Amino acid sequence: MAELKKVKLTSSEGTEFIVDRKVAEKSVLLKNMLEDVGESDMAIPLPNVTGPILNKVIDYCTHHRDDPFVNQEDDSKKVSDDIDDWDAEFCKVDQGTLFELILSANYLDIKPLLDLTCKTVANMIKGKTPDEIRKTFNIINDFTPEEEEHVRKENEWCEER
Amino acid sequence: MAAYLPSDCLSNIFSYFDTDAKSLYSSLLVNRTWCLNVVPVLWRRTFYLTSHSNFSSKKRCQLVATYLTCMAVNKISSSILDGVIPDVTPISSTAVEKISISTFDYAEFLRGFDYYDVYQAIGSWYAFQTCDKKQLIKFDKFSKNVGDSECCKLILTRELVKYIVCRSPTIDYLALDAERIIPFDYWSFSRFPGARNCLSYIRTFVCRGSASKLDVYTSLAQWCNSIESITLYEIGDDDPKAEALSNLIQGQRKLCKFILWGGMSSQLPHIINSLALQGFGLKYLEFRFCNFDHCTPLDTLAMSCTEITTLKFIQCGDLKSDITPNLLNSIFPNLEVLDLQGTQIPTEALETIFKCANIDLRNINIEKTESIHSRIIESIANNCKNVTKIKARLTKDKMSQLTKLFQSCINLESLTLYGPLPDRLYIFTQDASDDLLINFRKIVPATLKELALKTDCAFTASAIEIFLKDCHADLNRLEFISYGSVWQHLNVIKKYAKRRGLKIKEQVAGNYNELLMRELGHIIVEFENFE
Repeated sequence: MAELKKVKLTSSEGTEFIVDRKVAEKSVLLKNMLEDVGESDMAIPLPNVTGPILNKVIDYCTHHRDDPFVNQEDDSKKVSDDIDDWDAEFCKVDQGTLFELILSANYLDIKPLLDLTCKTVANMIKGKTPDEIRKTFNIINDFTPEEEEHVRKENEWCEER
Repeated sequence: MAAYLPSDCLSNIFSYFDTDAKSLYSSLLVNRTWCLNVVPVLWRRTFYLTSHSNFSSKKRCQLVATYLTCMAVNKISSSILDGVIPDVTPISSTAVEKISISTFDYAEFLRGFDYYDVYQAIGSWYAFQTCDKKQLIKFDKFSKNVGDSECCKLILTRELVKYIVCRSPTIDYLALDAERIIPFDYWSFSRFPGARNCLSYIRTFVCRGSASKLDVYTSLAQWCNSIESITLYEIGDDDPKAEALSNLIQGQRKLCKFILWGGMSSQLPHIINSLALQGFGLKYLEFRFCNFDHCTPLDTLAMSCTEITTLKFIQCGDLKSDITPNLLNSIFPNLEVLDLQGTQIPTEALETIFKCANIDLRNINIEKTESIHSRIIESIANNCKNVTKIKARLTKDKMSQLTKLFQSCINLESLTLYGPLPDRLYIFTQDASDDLLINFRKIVPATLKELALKTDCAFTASAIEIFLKDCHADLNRLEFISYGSVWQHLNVIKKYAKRRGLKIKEQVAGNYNELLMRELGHIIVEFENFE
């Protein structure tokens, strides 16, 4: 059996990770880089991803290494309650880590991970009032009272009936 | 941290609330950044959302009020609109209590609408206005008939749609209503300013009604080449040979779905030819109540449309066809669904389709096709091993074919057989009928969930009892013609349900022709699992 090709990745602090090329290629960014560079032993620097987050991302890509590539149509209805058990467990992290994962998935262009983490955040928002959302995510309301009133009035058609 | 997510990540999060207006409304009011990213999602399909979810007419009125405010506030130079936009300032000042500016030009975010939904929403808004306020609207610019509220609603609908197509950069879903309720004059958008730009991106086009459509087909044929789905309820009487519609079809590069209700015999040959020219891209074809007297659609389509996965001819009468297996071209090799409800095609053509289909053909409805001389069920059994759902016409004398079907198609989930109901001399062949069912009991696939035998074959309660006792399938629906007291049959079914731990969800039983055949009944039972 042919030896599995390995790829070296370096996190923002300089920690080196060695992963199977198939796992790395779950990231479209890395896949394109590897195709452009060809065979090389050079480590690929990922200055936007910290070691612990890269570790999590690799866990995800390893678990889903054999998943087929799904090209979801923009128009197909997206639902947030279809998360499987492993993915749900994977997303049981503190909020800081969850948002770091979103940023990393976005940067590395790993669509299924981005969708999973965004879905998890969507589930945290669902059914909450604006105040509860602000409290949950520690967001400051930067609307002026007039602006907020305008937005509220213009959108009152979708206020709870 | 959530405040610092880039826009595309926030948009991805909000996209999960596509039809959850409540969560979008809450997110909208969190802060400015969230507001900027929620508005494009929330205002993408507003008319669809307010028409199809549980929105009151007051809510639709509020939606329209915001659009009309935008229309009044975001003044568009008269040269663009050629002086036709009404002065709606009085509308907005009455409707939304003097909001002098709108935070967004919300029409920019609309990506799809159904003309009828807009008309309905305008109707809701109009109903909430007082007579004094209605008089402030300058309808007299467009019509002398300003006392007619229907006319006023139509004018407002048209002006709002004009505004939308002028402001939105892309409309990808367009549904038009050419019924009498909205006269052609009010929805013929080809002369609306900006229509060409925003409508050239249409991906889904729906058009209802039998009124004039020629102008629409001609305009869209000039502007669009990326329509993926076309649904038409009647072609329109001003396109008698469907040449304009055929041009529209031929001009599309990505057409994969085409649905037509009510085509006439003079129109369909052109339509079928233009679809055949689409060739490889087409995946889904559906015709309902179409008259194919002047063409042979199956033969034409089979030559070029090799990627079709769904083929439906519903209530289309008798279709002529001479398709035969061809070594060079496989006939519909990727077919998954074949639905011929109310449509008959020659059994030889059907057998050809089954021979050429690969393992993906799973859903077959041939309930109209009489198979007097052929063994069509055996043909399915021999060629379509993965079939899960069958509706077919089959009389008792052909029922022995089911043995082969049950043995070959081990994933079968639903089988419905239609035929003439038993006649008065039925009693002499009762044992043979019962034996048929009893012989099936051990070969019925374990996957079978629905079994309906509505043909010239009735069964005694004891035959049903033996069948249910030994059958491996977990049925959740059973329908058959009973011989003898229906109550005996229902008792047998109750015992079966008890044994299997099932609850009887629904039961219908009775004699279907009490005067002539007191002993024959019709039994329908549905089961469900206990929680």
